[in-house]
Amino acid sequence: MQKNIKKRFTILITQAKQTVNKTFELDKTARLINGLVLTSDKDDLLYYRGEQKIEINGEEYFPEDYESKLLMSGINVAPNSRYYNLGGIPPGNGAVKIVYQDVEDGRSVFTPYRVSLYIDYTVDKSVN
Amino acid sequence: MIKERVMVKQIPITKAGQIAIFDIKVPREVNKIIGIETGLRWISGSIPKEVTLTSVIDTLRFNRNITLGDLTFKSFDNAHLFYSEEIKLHRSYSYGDFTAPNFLPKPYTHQTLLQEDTISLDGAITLAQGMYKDTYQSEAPFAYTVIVYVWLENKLN
Repeated sequence: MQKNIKKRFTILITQAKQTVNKTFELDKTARLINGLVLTSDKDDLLYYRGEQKIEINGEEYFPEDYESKLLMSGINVAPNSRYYNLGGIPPGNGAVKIVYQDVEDGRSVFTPYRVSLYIDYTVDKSVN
Repeated sequence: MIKERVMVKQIPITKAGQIAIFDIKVPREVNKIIGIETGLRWISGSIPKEVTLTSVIDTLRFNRNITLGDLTFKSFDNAHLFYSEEIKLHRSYSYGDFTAPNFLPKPYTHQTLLQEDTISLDGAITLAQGMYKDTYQSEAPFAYTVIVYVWLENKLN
């Protein structure tokens, strides 16, 4: 039986212009990655200052300098449409690597913030 | 194998009226150019503050967006000019939203899910030329970076 689940991975940005490199692992039963979305406890900082590279299974899906705001959704987007659609890609080894960079922007003032990466993926529940 | 990929180009703008011309080299393995996205990073200089709303009537006043410049792309084949976009700072998220005096809509709370502008252009062009022209009228010095994302579809082996 297959089931869609959503998992959250978090990184903390504690200093301005900080770069955080982190690799997360999906469940071994993951079969397809359907989409992802970025959120933060301080949305304005993520919107104005965030950039990231995202790799899945060693393959680059979003390159360096790709702005975080392009992967965010507003509250006026229907819940079922909030994830950026990746079209159901195979997870391979299940490793999701994010290299997040905080970049100065004149429209924001830095305070420490949290970045959350949500991944929507399909798992095979028949595999133990 | 990845079917789609994106190339990023940053265009620094430091002077009023500046024109920047840049090339996007399309790799050989690309089948089509399928989309373009844009972004903006404000480096320095002042921009008008967002209007604050005090009553419901204020939500019916349209706040003019601030246009920073024009971005165009052309190819050297028959398609020629294939993309044109104004780079703007949006100031009208609160228009017609009666809850705005209590919960002021901001781009980071009320933006829609951003998607690239769809384009279908043969990857055989190998080179696309972009031009950005700043039109922001400000006497004070300013600097910003326009970020252009070109989405490409690879050939399938």
